[in-house]
Amino acid sequence: MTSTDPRPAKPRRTPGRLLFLFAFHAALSGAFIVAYLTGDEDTYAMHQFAGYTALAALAVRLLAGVLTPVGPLRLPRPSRAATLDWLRRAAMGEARAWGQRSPLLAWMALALLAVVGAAALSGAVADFVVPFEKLHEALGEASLPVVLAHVALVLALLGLKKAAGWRARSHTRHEVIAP
Amino acid sequence: MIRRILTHTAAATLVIAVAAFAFQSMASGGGGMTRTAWTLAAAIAGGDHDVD
Repeated sequence: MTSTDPRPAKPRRTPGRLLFLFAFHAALSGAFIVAYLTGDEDTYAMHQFAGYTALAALAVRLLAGVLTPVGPLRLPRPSRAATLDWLRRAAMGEARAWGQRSPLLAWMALALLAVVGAAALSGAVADFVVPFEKLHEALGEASLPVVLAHVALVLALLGLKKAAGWRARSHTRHEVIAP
Repeated sequence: MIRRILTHTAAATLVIAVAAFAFQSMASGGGGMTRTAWTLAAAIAGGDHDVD
């Protein structure tokens, strides 16, 4: 395959699967926001409700990932080689790297699933084994920076994609104007 | 796509917050919604999430 070949064919995302991913993201992030804001003893029932909602969303997502190992629902499998290659190409200003899906997203998804999953699971365990409460609190606090890093990464990649679009349009204009 | 994801997330947050609020009201054993609302407001305003 040469560098001018079109992108390899990807399995087509069916609307149902995309909707499932939207629903999962919405349920998990919504439950996380509510659980984080109610992490106080006085609002324990709210915190519990939101925490178990997050745990249920994660369980359904893991089940979907295990049952469909191919396609958009598969669990994130970050590749170190692909990430280093993308970082090198992006740093060199390659417009195609700026516009394509970054392998960094797979690392971020894995980190989020791990830390939010651990926080939710330790919360459920802490309901029965009280000493787990400290671990649950620490994991809950550790989740927020990872969530904020996820938001920052998505915004940065969006900016990079827009910059790639502007550059492509600018090049096209120059080619049209130049003799 | 980003806008759609944000809309879904905001809607889900609202639904989960309302459901959790109702659950807290029921769990507080007749404490009432007003008391739950005050408790929630105090908890959010306090922002006490530190590990003791």
